[in-house]
Amino acid sequence: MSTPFEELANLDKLIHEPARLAILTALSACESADFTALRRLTGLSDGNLSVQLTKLEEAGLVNIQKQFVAKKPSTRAKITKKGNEAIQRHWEKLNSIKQNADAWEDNLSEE
Amino acid sequence: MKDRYAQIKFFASNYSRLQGLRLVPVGLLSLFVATWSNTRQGQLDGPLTALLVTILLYWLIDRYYNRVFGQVKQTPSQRKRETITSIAFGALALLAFALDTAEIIPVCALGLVFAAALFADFWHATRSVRKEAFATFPENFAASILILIVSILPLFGITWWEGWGIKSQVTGVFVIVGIVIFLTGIWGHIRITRDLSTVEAKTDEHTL
Repeated sequence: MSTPFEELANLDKLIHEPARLAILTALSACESADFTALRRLTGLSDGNLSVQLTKLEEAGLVNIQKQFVAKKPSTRAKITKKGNEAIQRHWEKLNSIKQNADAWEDNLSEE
Repeated sequence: MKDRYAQIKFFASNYSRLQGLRLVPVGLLSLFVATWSNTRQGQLDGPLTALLVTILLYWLIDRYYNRVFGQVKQTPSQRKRETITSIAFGALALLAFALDTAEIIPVCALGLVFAAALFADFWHATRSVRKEAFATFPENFAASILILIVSILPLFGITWWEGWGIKSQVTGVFVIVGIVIFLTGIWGHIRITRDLSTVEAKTDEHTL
């Protein structure tokens, strides 16, 4: 049986990075969100959010739509089916690691 | 760490609902209509003007939130659930109003429907933060309890609205609902402004 440390090391780095995990978590709770809302929800700076969204789009986890609303540019992000499955799987894995870590700690203290 | 993501999920799934200022004109309208019906009857120019002012204020607040906080579109299932809930509580409110005007029950049925709607909203909104529901979204819970209490007080012989110079219990409950909606709106706005700023300060340092 692998230790919690090994399980942590095996997590998908693309999703587990805090900024991208925050973006995917926010987008998994809604149909879509614009750039301003994502900036507010995740607390990321404009530049950082833009970079992380591009990485997620390249991985096929989010769709980005750029359009003009009232003559102003508007960027809207939407999680893909693949992205939704990936974030659900990731949270399940994190919960499982936490449970295993708690059990592992209990075993160590008993020994 | 998980709490922060649960909070993000809570805000993302309830984005419009948590923009408290949207409630302020609705609360003021309820308060105005209740006061108007208590003092004057017949002419509808007052409530119609108040309704137009409410629509204008709501539109301005909507523009403010869209510009400063951006837009989050709910999932189709969330929209469907909210539509069904609104229709169900709307129908119940009409039935309750009929019961109240007939004065056949010793409690304010309309107040009970308002309290139930606020509690249902609180319960659904906090599903991602169930263990910290009261700390995360206390205003709707507190509002539902307060309206429940004022609705059932006549059961114990307490006709509180008379002491306020209000003619009927329904009008009194409308006054309370107006004040409560106004205050929860202000509370909600303070929370969204404060909490989203807090998230910003905490997270930017380790994401670049």
